[in-house]
Amino acid sequence: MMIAVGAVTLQVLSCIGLGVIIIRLLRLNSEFSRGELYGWAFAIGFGVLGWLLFFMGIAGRYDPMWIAILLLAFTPGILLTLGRDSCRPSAQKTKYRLEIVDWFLIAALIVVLGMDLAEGLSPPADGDSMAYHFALPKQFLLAGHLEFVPRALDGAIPLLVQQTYLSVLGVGGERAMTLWVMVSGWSAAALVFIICHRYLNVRWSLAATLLYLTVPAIVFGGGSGQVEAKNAMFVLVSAFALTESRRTGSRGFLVLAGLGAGFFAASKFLGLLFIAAAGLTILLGRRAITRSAIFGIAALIAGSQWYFWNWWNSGDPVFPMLFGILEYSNLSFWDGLHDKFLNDVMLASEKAVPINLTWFLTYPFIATLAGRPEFESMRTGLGPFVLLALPFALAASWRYRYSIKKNPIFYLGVIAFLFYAFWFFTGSSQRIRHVVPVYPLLLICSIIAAHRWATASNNLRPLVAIVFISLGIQLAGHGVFSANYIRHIISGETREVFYRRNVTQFDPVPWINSHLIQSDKLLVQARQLIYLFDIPTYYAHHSIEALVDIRPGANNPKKLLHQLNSLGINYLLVTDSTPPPASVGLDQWRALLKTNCLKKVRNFSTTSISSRSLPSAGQHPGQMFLLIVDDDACIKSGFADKHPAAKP
Amino acid sequence: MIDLSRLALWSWILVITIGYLIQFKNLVPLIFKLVGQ
Repeated sequence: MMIAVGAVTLQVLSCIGLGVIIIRLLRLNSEFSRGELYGWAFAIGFGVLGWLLFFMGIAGRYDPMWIAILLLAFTPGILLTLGRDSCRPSAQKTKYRLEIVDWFLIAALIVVLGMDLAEGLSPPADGDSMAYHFALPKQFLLAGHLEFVPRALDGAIPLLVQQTYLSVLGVGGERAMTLWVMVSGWSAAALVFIICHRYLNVRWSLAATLLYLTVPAIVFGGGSGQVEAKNAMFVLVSAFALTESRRTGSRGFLVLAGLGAGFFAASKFLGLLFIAAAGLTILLGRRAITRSAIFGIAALIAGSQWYFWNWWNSGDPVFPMLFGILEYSNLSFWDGLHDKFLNDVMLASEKAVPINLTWFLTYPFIATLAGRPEFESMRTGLGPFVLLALPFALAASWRYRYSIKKNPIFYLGVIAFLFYAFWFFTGSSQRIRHVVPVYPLLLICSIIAAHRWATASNNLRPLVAIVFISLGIQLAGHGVFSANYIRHIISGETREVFYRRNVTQFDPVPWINSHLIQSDKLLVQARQLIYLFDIPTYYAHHSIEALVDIRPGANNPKKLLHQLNSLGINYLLVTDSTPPPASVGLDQWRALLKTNCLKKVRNFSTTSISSRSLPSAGQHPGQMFLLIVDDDACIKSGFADKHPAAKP
Repeated sequence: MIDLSRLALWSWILVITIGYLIQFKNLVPLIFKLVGQ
C-alpha cells in the first residue's frame, strides 16, 4: 500500500513539475494564481509525461527503474511554484465566508471523493479497462518496449493516457494504477472549479464541480481506465487557453491550446475532431493564419507520434480507417473481408439513428430522456442538469445577445457545439460517452450563463432547485455505483472473491495462471479477462483483428489451425454453448476438437454478470473449455501437414 | 397575478425531472434489493 501511495504521489508531483516547467517556458506563470497553477500544471504535465513515455517505449526503456528516474527528474519542477514571482499575486478580494449551504456542498464533495477512493482501492473490473486500457500497459511493461498491436479500435490506437498507467503500474503496481486513474479523473473536476471560480463564487463553483464529479458518465469512467475523463482535462486546457489567448493576445496560450488539443488527439482518434473544432474558432477570428499555425504546430508536436507509429507499422495513420484508400496489400494482419465486416456490422451497430439534421438537434434530448441502448446514455449518460438549465442559458443568451461575443465563456460553448457537430455528422459511434470530453465545457457555459441570468432577473430559486435536483439524483446514482466497492473494502474480501463477483467468466483465470507457463500462449475470446492473465495471450475477435479468422460464417478449421501455429498459440480458452452451435465462426474449434487435434484440458463452470453495481440484475451460468493443440493428432487428422515451427 | 415566465420555468423543471427519472423505473426494485443487502 505504501509503495502504491508513494508511486502515485511521485507521479503527481512529476506531472505538476513538468507542467510548471512548460508554463514557465511559455511565460504564462503570471497569469495564474498559485492554486490555479497547480491545477493547470498537473493537466499539462500529465500530457507531457504520456508524450515522453512514448519515446521511452520506442527506445525499449519500459523498465521500473528508468521510469522512476524519469519521474524523479521532473519532480523538482514543482519548486518553480514557490518563488514570489512564480505566479499571479492573489487579488485583494473580500474574504468569502462559508455558510451552511457551502458546508453542505463541501460535505457532499468529501462523500463523493470518499466513494471514488473506495473504487480506487479496489481491483480494476471495468470491461474496456481489462481488455486494453490496463492490459496493454501490462503487456508493454512485460515486453520492456512499445509494441504495435494489430487490432482495430482497441489496439492500433493513440495511447497517450495509457502510457501514464504504464509508468505508475511499473513503479507502484496495480493499486498504484487504480489510485492514479482516480486522481487523474479528479483533475478535470479541479479545472472545472478553477474556471468557474473566475466567474462565480465558491458556492456555485463547488456546485459545478460536484455536478461534474457525479455525472453518470464520469462516475462510470472517471475511476477506471476509460480515457474520456482524462481527455476532458485536455479539452479544458485547450479551450480555456484559447479563450485566454483571445483575451490577452498571448502566443503562449495558443501554444498551450495546441498542446491540449494535441494530447487529446494522442489519446483518442476523436481528438482530431476537437483539433478541427478548436482550429475553426481560430480561423474565424483575427490573425487567423498566424494563430492557426501556432496552434497547429503545437498540436502536431503533442499529438502526431501515435499516428506516425500507426503509419510506420501499418501504412495507415488511422488504422484501419483508410483501408481501400491507402496501400494495404503488403499487410499480413488486415484484409478486405475483415474491413467490410468491421464497417458493415460492428461499426454500423453503433449508429442507432440516421445522420441528419433532425437527429442532430434531437439527439441530446433523446439521449437524456429516453436513451436507446446503443447510446449507453441511461446509466452512463450526462445527467439532467444541462437540459434542466437550458431555458436559463437561452434566456441569458437573449438578454446578453449584444455582448455575448465578448464573453470568453461563449467560445467554450462554440467549441463544444462544433465538436458535437463534427462527431455527429462524421458518423462516429453514437455512444454518448464519446462526447464526455466536451461535457465540462457545456456544464461551465450552462451554469455560468444560468447564474448570470437568474441573478440579474432576481429569479435564483429555480436555478438552486435544478442544482439540488440534479445533485440529488446523481449522488444517489453514485452511491449505487460505489456500494460494490465499499462492500469490498469493508468486508475485506480477497481479490479473487471480488473478481468472482464482478468479472464475467473469471473462473478459469486462477487455474490457468497457476498451471500455464510463460512459454505457453493462450487464445482468449473473453476480452474482460485479458488483463488478468499472467501468461502471453492473443485476443481473437471476429471483426477487429484478422490474424485469427473467426468471422461469423468462416468455416476453415485447417486455416484456423495454421493461424494458431503461426502465432505460437498452443492453448485456447473457449466458451461452450448449449445446444452446441455449428462449427463455424467463433466455434470452428469444434471441428478440430472432434478429430482430437484440439484436446480438452479442463472444463470450467462460469458466471456471467449482468451488472456490477446491481447484483440482483442477474447472473447466468455457463461453461468454458481450456483446449490444447495436439500437433501429432493434427497431422494425423490431416489438419496440419507438418509440426509447427518451434514455439517462441 | 401569475408570472407566466416563472410558471413555464417551473413546469420545464418538473417535466424534465420526471422525464429523466422515469427511464430508471425498471431499476427501482434492483436498487431496493441492493439497499436491502
